Amino acid sequence: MLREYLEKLSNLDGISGYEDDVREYIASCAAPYASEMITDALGSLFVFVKGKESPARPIVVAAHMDEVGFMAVDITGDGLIRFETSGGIDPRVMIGRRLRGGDKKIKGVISLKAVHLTTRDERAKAVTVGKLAFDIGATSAAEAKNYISIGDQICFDEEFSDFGDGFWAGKAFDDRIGCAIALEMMRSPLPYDTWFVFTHGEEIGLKGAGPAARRIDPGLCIVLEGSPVADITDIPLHKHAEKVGEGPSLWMMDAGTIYCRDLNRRLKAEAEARGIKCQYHLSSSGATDGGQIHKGASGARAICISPPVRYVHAARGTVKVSDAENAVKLANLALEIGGKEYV
Amino acid sequence: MFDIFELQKKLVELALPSGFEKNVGEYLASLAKPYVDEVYTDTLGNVICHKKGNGKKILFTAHMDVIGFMAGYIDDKGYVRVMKIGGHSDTNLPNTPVRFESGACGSVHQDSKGDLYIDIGATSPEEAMEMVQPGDVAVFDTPVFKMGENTICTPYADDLICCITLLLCLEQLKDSENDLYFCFSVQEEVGCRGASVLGYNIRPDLCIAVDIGSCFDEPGDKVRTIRLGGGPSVGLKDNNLYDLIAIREVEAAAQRIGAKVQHEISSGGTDAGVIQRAPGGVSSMAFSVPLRGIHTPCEIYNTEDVKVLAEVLADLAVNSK
Amino acid sequence: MCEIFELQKLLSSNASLSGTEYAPGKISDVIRKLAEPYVDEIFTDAMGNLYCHKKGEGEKLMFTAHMDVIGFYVRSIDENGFLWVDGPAQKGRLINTPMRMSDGRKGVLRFDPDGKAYIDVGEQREFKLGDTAVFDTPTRLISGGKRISTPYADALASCVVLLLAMRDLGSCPRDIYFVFSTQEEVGCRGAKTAGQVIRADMAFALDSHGCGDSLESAKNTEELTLGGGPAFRFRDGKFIAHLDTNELLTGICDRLGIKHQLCIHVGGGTDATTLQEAGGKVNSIGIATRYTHSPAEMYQVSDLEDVVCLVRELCRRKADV
Repeated sequence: MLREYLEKLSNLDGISGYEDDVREYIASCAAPYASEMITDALGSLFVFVKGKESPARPIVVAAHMDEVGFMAVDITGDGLIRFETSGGIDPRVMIGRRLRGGDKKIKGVISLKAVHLTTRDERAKAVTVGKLAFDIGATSAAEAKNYISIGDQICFDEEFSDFGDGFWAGKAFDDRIGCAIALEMMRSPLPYDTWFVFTHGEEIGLKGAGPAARRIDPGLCIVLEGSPVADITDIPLHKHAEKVGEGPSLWMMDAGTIYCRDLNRRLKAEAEARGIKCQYHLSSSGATDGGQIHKGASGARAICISPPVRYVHAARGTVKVSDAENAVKLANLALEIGGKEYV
Repeated sequence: MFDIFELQKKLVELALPSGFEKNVGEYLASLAKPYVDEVYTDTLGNVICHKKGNGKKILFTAHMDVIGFMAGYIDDKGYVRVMKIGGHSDTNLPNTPVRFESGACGSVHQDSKGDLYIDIGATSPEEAMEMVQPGDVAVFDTPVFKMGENTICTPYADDLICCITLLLCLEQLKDSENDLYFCFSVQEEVGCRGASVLGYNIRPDLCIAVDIGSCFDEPGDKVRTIRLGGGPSVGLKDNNLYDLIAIREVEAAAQRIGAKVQHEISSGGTDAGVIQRAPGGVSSMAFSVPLRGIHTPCEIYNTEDVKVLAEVLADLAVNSK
Repeated sequence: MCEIFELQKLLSSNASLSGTEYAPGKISDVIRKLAEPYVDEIFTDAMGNLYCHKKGEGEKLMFTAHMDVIGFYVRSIDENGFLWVDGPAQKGRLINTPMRMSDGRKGVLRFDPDGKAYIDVGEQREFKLGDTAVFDTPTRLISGGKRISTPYADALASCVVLLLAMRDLGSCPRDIYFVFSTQEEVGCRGAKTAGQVIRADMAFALDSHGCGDSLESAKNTEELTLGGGPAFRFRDGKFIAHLDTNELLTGICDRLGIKHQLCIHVGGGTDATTLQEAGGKVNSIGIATRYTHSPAEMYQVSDLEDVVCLVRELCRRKADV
């Protein structure tokens, strides 16, 4: 069901704080397996699924529901919408994009004036968010306000699809792929009781994760993410971080967490013995919910499993199907081994 | 009697970067054990040495992790790319000798674009992988030596000398009503992560983080705050605002034993800053060993400052009400 | 036990700055003791050059390896005890290096905000203008024993070559001088005198030659690599080798099956530059070395062994070869 979950999740819109539709869908998929479901005050969803045994301390599998996107902050007299980013987005990936905003999902575009009308100096300068506008074809503020209000979310207007030679493409794979993997995990009998936590607000600073940690106080946390990979031409090999097609990655460390190396190495060896391709993520930038969870309560061991996703935090990312499928297998293995020895 | 120089050398041999404190933790636990009622380790690896009492709950911390490197990508010539653990200033690093936990030795360098790598003298990735795996960690491999009777130069005075200070305090500790926690914390250098868990679990009445304070007594220092040999330093503020109650406690203890202390306002953070924000809030401050050359392979401290700090802590532990 | 490693360690820990090599107890004395059992006579000159003479009939053959190293000397001492020094102070490559003073006491090399170099010696006092300081970083056998990371491969590794080459040579059809020269690092001054003193028919200057195979340079500034064998610099900015000697060196290597490498260096020189002034056919033989003039130079043990074989064959080959 991985593809089905991912397709639906990727097509749903939900920036930080606006995860309702995503949460609703996840909750409906999880309901048949859950013995308990809680939504906390910040909007994070907690799904308790019973497994064969009770672990020594609670186990959390975490994926965040929010995607990076934009928020309308002002509507100008001539019907253009000024916006801010929600989460980290490079302004260069916004130019020329189609987006959809507000409850009505009105379609529009962020763009620059035609190249014919620019000067060389203008073309040489980096564009800043403050200079951009979301254009929905309205010609007055009144007209625009029929469709969108200040504070509304605006997301990349993309539809999920199969792509290339065994890939999927779509928006928000960071971290809808993690959510999809988590839902897929629930469908098989679990070795241990597990809290699947779908967090709010990861992209704006791991906001939901800390409170989630204090609610559950886990001994082990398995974070599911979509890894940034830079394995494209003219970037030196040592900056690639990982390689598409080599399986899901296990993160060694990032800006927020030093992941449990013992468990990582155990998993890698075990996975290889079982023919599950996997690799290490060899970059230390970025952060995951693990950063707040491992230290947020009385202490948890943390690992992060993620299939490589090209072009994260841009409109459309791609993931190799086999990497995603292997991520499910690896996550299940992590639950099995981690739940036994690393809680 | 703990010998500062010998212990510094021993701890430098054992210490590893944030996240990998197991070896040094076991050693410190074994040294502290005779002086306390129980020693235990939490999930992140913090070593807690608890001397039970019914009075005030006081938490002392010193962190046992150090800054260092983690092996990342190994290239086709056998060079090891690194991920930095902790706050390094890249200008401090070229040509620094380093040592991996596997024993493989090499040196840090910058490539032509300024990115760091470690040369372990391998000429192929196969040769390199026999010595170092991605994820292996490395530390500075520079000597520990004296520069006069009371001056020691070493890698990782931050924060191993403060771990030693806690041991010096323990060995002179008199019986106390107070409920004392001497904690060797983990992962301070990457954001006081171990302290987060200590605060959550222990919820003390008072917290004193023993860390190092940068001296400003070297050539070119314009604002002269604390100096080597001027006595241990009471931190008023760094990136955290320390609590006056805690500060006065330390000053009172110093006064009782006639110890001279310095005061500093600086930057950075310590375990005390994080524990201060534990649920319920904790009265916290940082009490430091003055240090030159922080986060370089050659840090310098004065052993008299260390001894006085230990004596002040020992008095406070007993007499704080 | 790796004898090359032990010898490198011994020499590096007795490293002496240009101009102080021949002071009592310094590097010259250390080398003399090691050479004594293997040669017929040893003498010095006013420049401090150490000549180890293996007597024989036939052409006069001379090898030099410089025993001085780069370092610093004390230019002034301020009221806080900091030693302000002069020397090849490159902030980017030498910051925070442990140093050893001429009397064995230790310090740390640092730079003030204007980039001026000083040595922090802690509480130690009673230093004098003109006192010298050398790198005190460790000599380590790395990469499974294949390579050595050390201060002063340049040119103490070349001294090691001569010390090993001179052993048990048997009778050779020539008169051989192994000369440990002085003041190479400040302009090959010792060799200039040594050349005149010996007036050899053929002379070879041994030294470390910088590799381009690390990631520090954007492209190979030298074509040399660790493990490429003896390096022949047939010309550099100040020296052009005698053509006969080029053929001689490559011929011997081919005959003995020793891989060798060639390079042309743009910049300055080796003892070969000044040796040539005395007449005679001169060439240079190099040990490929990474990170030259840093406290962590690196070379391959087998390269040094190959140079030893080459030197011994130069000594023993038949008279007409």
